[in-house]
Amino acid sequence: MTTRNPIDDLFSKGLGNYTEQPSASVWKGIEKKLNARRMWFKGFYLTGALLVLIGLTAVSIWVYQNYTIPLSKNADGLKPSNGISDMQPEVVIKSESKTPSAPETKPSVALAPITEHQNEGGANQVKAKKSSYNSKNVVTPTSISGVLAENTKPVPKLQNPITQPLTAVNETIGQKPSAEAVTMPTSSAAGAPIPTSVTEEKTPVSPQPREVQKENTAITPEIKQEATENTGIQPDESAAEKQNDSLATTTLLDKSNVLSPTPPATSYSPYKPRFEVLFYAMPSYVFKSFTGLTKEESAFRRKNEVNTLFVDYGMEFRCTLKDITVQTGIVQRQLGEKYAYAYDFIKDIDTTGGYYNVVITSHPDTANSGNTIITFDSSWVSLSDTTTAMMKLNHLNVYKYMEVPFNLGYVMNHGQHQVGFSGGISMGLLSYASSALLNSSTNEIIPIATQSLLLNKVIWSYNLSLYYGYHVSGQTTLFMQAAYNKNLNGILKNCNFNIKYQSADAKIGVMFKL
Amino acid sequence: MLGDAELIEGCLSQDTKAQRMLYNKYASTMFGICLRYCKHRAEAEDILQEAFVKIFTHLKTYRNEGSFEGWLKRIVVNTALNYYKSQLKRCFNEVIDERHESLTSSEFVPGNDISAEELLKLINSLADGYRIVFNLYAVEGYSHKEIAAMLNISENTSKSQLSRARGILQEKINAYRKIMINP
Repeated sequence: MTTRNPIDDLFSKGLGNYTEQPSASVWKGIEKKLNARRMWFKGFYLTGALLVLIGLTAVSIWVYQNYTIPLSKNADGLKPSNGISDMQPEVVIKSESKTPSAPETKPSVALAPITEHQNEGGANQVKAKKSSYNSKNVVTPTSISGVLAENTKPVPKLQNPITQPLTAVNETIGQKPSAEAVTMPTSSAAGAPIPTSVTEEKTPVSPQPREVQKENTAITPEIKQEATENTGIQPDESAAEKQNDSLATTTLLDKSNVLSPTPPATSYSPYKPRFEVLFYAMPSYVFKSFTGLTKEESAFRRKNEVNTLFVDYGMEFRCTLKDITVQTGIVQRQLGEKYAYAYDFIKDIDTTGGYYNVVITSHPDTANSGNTIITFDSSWVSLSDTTTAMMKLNHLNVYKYMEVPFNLGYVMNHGQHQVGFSGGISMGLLSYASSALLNSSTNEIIPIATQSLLLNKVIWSYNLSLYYGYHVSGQTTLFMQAAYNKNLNGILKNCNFNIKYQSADAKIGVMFKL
Repeated sequence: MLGDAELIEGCLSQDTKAQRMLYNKYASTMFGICLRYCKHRAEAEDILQEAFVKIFTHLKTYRNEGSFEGWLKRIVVNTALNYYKSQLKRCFNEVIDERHESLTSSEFVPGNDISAEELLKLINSLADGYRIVFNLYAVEGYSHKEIAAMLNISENTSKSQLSRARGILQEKINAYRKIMINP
């Protein structure tokens, strides 16, 4: 057994259990560091949430701007199941895909008007786009192309599709689209380039693409006959019709028809700042979290205090440039809670100053049958009729403040609709706080309201919101904005615990262009 | 007074009251440890503060294995070691002074005639390297192997540091006793 060194022993015994009280500043430093850490974590999660929101929005915008229905896929899925797959109509997606000469003639008629009319917007644009897709969707039964090529009438070449309106093409042609004209043979029997069929020029001008498609692809007796001769299978007319229906649907579903915005009631230039003023009412459902209370106390209060719906009002100014919005204004806000009467719970409140937050509960008075004991913080009263007291206690612990929000957002216009999101912080200047006192001599509850507290306490909050607007006219927009709002700092003052309120808001109002 | 389990639970749910109570319960003991490793009180307070922040933020890693106080002490000691890490490297690289190698415990008369405060002063008068190794070995009870691993030094360095620390302390205690007997 080794003996312990006497010096080690002396110091081990003398200092092993040595204690000394550190100065009070140590705990303050710890508290400060812990709070800073908590704030950092909150900021971290908030930033993360914002980044996710921005990312999702960016993806949505990208999808929105790049969305096209893959026509070829639709066509693949439309193959008739009638057993005539070898001779089934071919959906010509790109006119240049088959005929060597096609690029020279077809795009000049079908595609040129799009580029020329695109900038004009409105109905012309829609029509032009529709027409281009119609021309692409011409159905060509390839196996009978040789026969039909003979019946195909060449089209007078359009020298200038812009100066020669599309409607004039039909007049020039002077005939109704027929099954013969439907065909767009990829090559003639002799292998010579085939001129573009009549249909190509005719279909773009049709105001009813669905009908034109049907007409274009109608199965004529000649087609039927050749199909039967070649395959021995009777062509199914209904299948072709079905295909035409689908193609027509495809045309209608195309981006230019559905997703492209119709002209808004007013023209919005993204490069010119647009100033607007917003007036709104804001139903606000208020709930809360506590600091400085034990877990049990917090749970008790959450359970027994009723969250309240307030209606607030506000006016804000908004500046929009390149879809980015900056918004500020002034909002009258209320926070607080109603009380539910539950079992007794006592919480000492520092009533020496500041804004109190009293806890009131009630339970039957067993000593005086019929009476109700209202526990008021650390005091209580026994009342036979609690009606008056309850009226006085209703909307106790209400705080009103003038809020100045600073929000940054993004909006997208889609016809008369406008959607967007925004987020930011707000500074609230407390203007009113209500509480109550108990007069122990008279057993009377005295509501007190501390007013003229403007600037006495600043409440910082952050908010995240989603926005929807409907342009009634060029000057007026009706809007709704759903928002989540949370206090960054506690609302009470000189109290040994604190409350951070949260709210789910719904701004409903009108916005005028300035 | 709440037990450790309740306090830990409260601290884990970020209850500031529980954190304060835990601090009040162990602050003086932990501060005593800090004072042994630091030359100055201000440094000891800095280390204590840093250690408690670590305790509260890493409390979830405590798995109820061993005593809670032991876990707290380890954090405090490690925090103190980290505090002096940069200085320690220089201390351990100093040329060994052979003066104290010859001193043996036989020349030292044991006794309890020195107060804790005086012992603290004596230990604080040691160079950083001596003080830390002596604290770890003599007071905390770590082995040379453990100390070597903790301080990233060799076992022999740990042994020689301890030996020199003992020699210096023995000299100082003897001198102190002489003064106390013949003031």
